Amino acid sequence: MDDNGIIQLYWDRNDQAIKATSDKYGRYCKTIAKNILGNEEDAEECVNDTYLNAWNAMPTHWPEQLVTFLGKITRNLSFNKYKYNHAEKRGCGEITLVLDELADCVSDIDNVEQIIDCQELKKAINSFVRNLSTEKRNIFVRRYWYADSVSEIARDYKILPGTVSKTLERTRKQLKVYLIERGFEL
Amino acid sequence: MKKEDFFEVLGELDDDIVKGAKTTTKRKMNWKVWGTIAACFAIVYGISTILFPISRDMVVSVYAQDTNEEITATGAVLMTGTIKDNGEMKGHPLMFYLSGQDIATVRFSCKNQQINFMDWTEKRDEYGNAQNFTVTYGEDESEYYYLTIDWIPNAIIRELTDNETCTIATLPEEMRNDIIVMEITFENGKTTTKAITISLLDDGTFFANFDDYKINEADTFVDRLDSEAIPRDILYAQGAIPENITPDTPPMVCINNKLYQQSKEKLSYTKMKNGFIYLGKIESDITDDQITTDGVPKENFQANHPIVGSEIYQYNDDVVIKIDGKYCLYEIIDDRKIQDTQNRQIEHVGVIPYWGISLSVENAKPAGLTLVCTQSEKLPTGELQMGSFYKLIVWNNDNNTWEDVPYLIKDIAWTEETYIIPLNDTMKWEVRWEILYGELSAGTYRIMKNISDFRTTGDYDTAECWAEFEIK
Repeated sequence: MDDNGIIQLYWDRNDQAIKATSDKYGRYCKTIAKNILGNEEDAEECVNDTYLNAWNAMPTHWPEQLVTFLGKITRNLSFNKYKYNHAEKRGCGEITLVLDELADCVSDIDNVEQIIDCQELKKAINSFVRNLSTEKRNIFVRRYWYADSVSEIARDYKILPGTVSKTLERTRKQLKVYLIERGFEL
Repeated sequence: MKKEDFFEVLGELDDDIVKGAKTTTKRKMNWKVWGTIAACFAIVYGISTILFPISRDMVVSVYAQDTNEEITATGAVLMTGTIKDNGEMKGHPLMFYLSGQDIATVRFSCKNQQINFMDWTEKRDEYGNAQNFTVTYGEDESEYYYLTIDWIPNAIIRELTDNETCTIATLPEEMRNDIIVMEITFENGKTTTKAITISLLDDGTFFANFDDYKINEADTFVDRLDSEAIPRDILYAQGAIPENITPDTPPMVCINNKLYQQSKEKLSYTKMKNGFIYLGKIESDITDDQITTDGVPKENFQANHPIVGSEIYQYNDDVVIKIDGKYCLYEIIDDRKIQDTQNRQIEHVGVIPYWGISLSVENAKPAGLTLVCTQSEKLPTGELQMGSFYKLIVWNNDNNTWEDVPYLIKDIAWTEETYIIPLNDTMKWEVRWEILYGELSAGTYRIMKNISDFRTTGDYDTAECWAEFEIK
């Protein structure tokens, strides 16, 4: 079923909407959740919560891209769950490594006095990522949005895992410089 | 900002950026063609399953790497790679991974071509291009996805490339068909044998199927000894595995420290000779004594083809050389000069300006370095490429000259891979040379790469580029 068909099911309050979503995007959402959470049970829970959130959002929302709409919900829910688990010292997935890498871009200090224009920051990050070469951009997004493992990214792009790591390292440094130049001292 | 907060901010990347990173296209099989066969197979399979129940423990499936489509007993045309009559191959005709449970080991045997095993988790031994080897799979089934086998039809490519009259249709049967036998051992000690058969179709596509297999007496290829594992740092060091490559270099001359290449235009300059300025004669050409693997003349009034004694004339920015009574145009490659200071004669140190290339080194250590290549601003006429070959020279303070770093081994051969240098981007390569040179002592070194502006087969320009580094 195409995306508009699925969205229409939500708008019609047809309970087939969840099944259609699960059939088409269940695996996609599960992958995101499992990358962040690292275990089947928590990932399953977040995916189910994604469907609930989608049910509550549509109507009135009509997503332009259903896949990324669902992906973002899953990502946010999973990361919130991760933070809860992390506080409780419970296991997690690839996300710990991802966060350690992202520490290159920020001070990793919770500066409550720092005022950051979030909209401008999002614009700047989007602009930076958009201007990367296609391969660099995709590798960056696969790692820091989807939290895919380096092995998986290397395999899909048929490049050595070491090359993926080096590419990511360089891109993180470039991002930091880019943001500093635009007044974002993170 | 905390890294967790930054991760959340990254979650707000634009939808098209996010979607584009993980776009997968499911290639639809031509089920109209195979539907009937599949239906028949389903009936046969259903009956055989009732009569001979399959243990779930011993179910092994094979999936194509790029499309994640299952390769079944019915078979299908693979859409991931093709080959032309001239031997040009695009993509990977067959790159696959296994799926199953509790697989201990799989012994792969490829009858006619070669296979390359890659472990993207970097935990297991790899073997380069080989025909027989055993892979340890292990209990963690989630890792099987990262153990890929790439079927490399080198013999087909070689036959089509080397033999001008040869086409896919005229290839012998044994070359158009191949089989990869998999002897699978499970953690519980049970074994099963499967095989993928591959056929090259007339249109250059490949058909493959995966089914149970029974090794028979004629399958002597299975009895070959397993290949030795190759350490990863050797396997992925640029250039350490068989296959020779010697780049063809177009006719060139070096005059007054400038490099000129014979023009591809077929024009006669005989009538224009009154406008020429006489410069001298070609004094030497490249001989075996001059250590060069790239065929580019290095000394003044030197050629890389046998025209010693030919008269040279300046013609605008180019030169004209009188060969066998005819005046042949040699166009200047660029306006840079070969540096000739302190007895050093090195071309393109650090940059190739007309291609916008800069070459530098990071993390130089006695056993290797990271080579950094940046391209910007200029546009080549074709695609910028480099191969696996490189060369090291060292500055000799006593003699005040650059000297070749001696090799530790003889009969060196370089792999044939080509690395594309993307425009307006930076690429890095790890270079490890322990096998070739051992560990370097302290000193000033330069590493050379040949970079080509590749338009089409036989039509390219090549230039050397050196990057200097110190070992302390």
